[in-house]
Amino acid sequence: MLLDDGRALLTEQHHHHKGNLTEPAIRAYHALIRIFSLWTIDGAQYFDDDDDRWEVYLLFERDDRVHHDGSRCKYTSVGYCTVYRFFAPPQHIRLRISQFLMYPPYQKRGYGRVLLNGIYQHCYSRPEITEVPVEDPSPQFQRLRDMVDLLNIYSDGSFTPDMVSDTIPAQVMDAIQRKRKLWRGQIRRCYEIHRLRFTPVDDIEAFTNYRLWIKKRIFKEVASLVCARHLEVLNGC
Amino acid sequence: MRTTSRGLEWLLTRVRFGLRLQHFGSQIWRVGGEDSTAEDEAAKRKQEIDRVWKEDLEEYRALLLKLQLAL
Repeated sequence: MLLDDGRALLTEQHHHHKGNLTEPAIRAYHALIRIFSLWTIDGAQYFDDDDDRWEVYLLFERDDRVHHDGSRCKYTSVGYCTVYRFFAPPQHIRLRISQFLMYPPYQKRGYGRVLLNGIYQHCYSRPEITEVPVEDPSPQFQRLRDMVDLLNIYSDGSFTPDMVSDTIPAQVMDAIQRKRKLWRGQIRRCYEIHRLRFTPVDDIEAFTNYRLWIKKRIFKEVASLVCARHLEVLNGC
Repeated sequence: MRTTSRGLEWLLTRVRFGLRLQHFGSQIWRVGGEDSTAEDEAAKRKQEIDRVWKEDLEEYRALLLKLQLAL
């Protein structure tokens, strides 16, 4: 994997740990680190530890050098992520990412990708998980998610340069959803970025088509927001 | 005494009538206001769509630059 400045990131130097908040050790460790969420995540608040559907994913950096105290292989906490298991009828679950946090010294250094990919890899091995949505993503996290998802989709070869039509082929959409466990809205977002990549800016007609296609999507979102606001006003009366 | 109570009654009737008239007038004003707000809302919606489109485009372009390095 390459970082933004072209440096290589050695993923084998990292250690993922997944735990449930019902485990006393994980619970105690989470109680120590959760204060960082209040400092770094806008509007964050503590959740109910007693709920057994919370899971925590921890990312550590492994240092194999011999240290002054003679110890070898030290682990440094880099960041963590909390997820919540939601029931998805009839017998599946949706694993919703709730808090995703990299400690400030480790931000913008590629660790976020490592942690998110670790969570994804863990989800792929659990057949009961159908989807990995995100709760109210911040713009920074959305950027990270777009990058990771697009890289995964390109590594599967699901999006090809000739795919620039207004609709995503149903079999492609289903295949990505099944393999990568992504929400359809996120797949559509990745497709928008992919389409921009292969739409020549100097081709006025193609770019106009692209712009109108995006605006249709935005119009639907804005219209639904306006409807919701009108309903709120009517209910208020 | 009778004259005073009659006078009060007369005054109350007028006040009630005045209040109803004022309420009715405010309803008409509100309806007129809503008509003009619908146009405003359409213009606002258009502005909002343009703003989101520009933001998305910038965001996508920035991401594509990073993607070129990562691929």
